[in-house]
Amino acid sequence: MDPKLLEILVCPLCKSPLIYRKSEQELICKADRLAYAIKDDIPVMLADEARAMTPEEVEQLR
Amino acid sequence: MWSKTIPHRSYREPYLPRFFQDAARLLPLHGHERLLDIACGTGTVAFGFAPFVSSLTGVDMELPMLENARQHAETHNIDIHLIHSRMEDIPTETGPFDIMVMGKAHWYLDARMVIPKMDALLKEHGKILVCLATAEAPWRATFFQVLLKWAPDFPWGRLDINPGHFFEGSRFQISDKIVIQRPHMVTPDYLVKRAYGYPATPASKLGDQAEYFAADLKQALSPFMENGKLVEKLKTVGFIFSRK
Repeated sequence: MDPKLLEILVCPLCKSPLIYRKSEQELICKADRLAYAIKDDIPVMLADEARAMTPEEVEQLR
Repeated sequence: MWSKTIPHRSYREPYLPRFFQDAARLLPLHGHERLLDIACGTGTVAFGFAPFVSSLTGVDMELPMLENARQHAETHNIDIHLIHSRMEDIPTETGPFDIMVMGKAHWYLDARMVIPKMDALLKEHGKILVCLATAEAPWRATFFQVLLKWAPDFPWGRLDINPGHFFEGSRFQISDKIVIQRPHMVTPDYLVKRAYGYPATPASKLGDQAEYFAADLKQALSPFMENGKLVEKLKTVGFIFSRK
């Protein structure tokens, strides 16, 4: 996964920057509490396919 | 919709290799350009331009198509950034791009949503190239009549949208056109597989009716055969759009 690409991707809903969680292969939008999957190095930037995160999960990112 | 066509895509009308060379010369491409393939699918158009640009990015809505593109890129050692996204959601920061290419994306994309994003992502003197791989043959109307009969619910009307219609009312206008042609011989069996490679009639959609479809298509084509073969003229057409 190209780090430069990850740096410029934003949440398709709120346009906020995303946090890359390498171990989970996810891009996190804290504002919308959504985790966008990275499947085989392809970021899936579709809100309706993103995983909803619990407030606790988001809190752990702080 | 397109993912089901993957097993038979190689039977579809190809992009003729000389097309990429001629387009690269006409655009022109110097090797330092950044290219974005809109609705890239399996990446065929982007990969055709790989020798002529410095970076490739592909965006598509169907993950199996992108996975196919990734495998092709790995096998052929081509560097490409693939993003599973709606074109209109691509961050402007991903750009700017020198060149944007599209295959048949203009049939399906919402021009009102996509063109402003293209405008934002394209450099001031950047260009858009719409690439169409098609063919001409006396049997082609008959071929499509059979497909229409078997897939009446397919949105055939979308296929009437030409690139000029898509960009109508926008800041972009056609500034050049490329046409590459080559004669080609095919068999009826080959054309059945080509039909399976179209989104209207993939084999998986036809299911257990696929063999009846194949028989119907072959019978319809039989009057056009000579020594078991049919002739067609493969044609790759490129429309270059620039800002007015």
